[in-house]
Amino acid sequence: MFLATEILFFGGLFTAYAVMRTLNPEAFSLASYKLNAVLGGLNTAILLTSSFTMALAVWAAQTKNQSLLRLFLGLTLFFGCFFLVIKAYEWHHEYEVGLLPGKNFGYAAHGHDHAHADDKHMSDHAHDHNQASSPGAVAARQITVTDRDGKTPLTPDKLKGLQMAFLFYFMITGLHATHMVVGISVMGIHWVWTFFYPRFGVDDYTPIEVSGLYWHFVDVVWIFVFPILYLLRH
Amino acid sequence: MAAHKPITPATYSIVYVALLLLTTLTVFISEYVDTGAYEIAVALTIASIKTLLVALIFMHLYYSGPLVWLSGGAGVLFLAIMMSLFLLDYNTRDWTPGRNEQPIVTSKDQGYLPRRDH
Repeated sequence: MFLATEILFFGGLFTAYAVMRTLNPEAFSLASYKLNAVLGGLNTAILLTSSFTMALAVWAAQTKNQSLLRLFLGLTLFFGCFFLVIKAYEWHHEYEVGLLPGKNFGYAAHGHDHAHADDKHMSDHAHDHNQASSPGAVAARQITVTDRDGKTPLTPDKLKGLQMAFLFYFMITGLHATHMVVGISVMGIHWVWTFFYPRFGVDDYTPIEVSGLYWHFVDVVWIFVFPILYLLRH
Repeated sequence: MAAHKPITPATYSIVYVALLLLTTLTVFISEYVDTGAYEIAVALTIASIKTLLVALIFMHLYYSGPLVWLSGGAGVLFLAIMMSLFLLDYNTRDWTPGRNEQPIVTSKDQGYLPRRDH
């Protein structure tokens, strides 16, 4: 029942994405083009592996083998964390190249600092305190996000569409990662309990099974997130 | 949910390998095969097959009773209703008579965002 509400929770976001995508098909495919499908695919494989070890954990609980249960819960935890590490690396990269929606969308993070420094160099020291808000600092910056050819900077209109696409990207992956953190916490608690309660999970495997259902659900969400965000690029 | 017999690791392993192969396939198609307008259909079909594998085997849906099927089905059904109504709405708005006197700007040189200047 809870998972049915979760389907609609993510479903709302997917629906909004579908609508915006039909309105701006080119911007959204450009956004897919800018994501790293190899890292995304690797993350998909990692998450599938964690689901596999989770299924084996449930099997270990059913066959009353607690040391195997502990091992598979630990492996599930490990792959879950591994997924988040790669996701964090991707987010960081997107921030660096200026794909984080907001005031600085379209400007590389370091490019911003650079332009700021140039501006500071040219101006009077007395105005140092006002540098961040001076118009010169903004005018000196160059849009660093390019079109498919990798050379032409995007026009402001195209940048606007791309920003919408990346807003959805960060919302969807962010919500998914939040669910991952919850799942990892639950698995972590189960894992620790297997050390303190000798019969935990094997007398009654329902807690393991139910947590497993949640874990698989988060995996299924990613199974859809991955092709939608990363693979539709033509 | 506690009624079914344990599924063997062998079954899980087969499903796991199938899932990895399908992932490789969908990435390969995206990178090297030009599927044109069917791109979304192909990607979502593969994703649906993977979801069925996870739901039926990993989540034991295949071995579960009618009530579990009903709960899962209800979620999918309402999602389908929501998505189809939203997309029907947004994709047919321009069919209204008089709406096309000022067409939505879609040419590439004017950017990606549709604009209505009225």
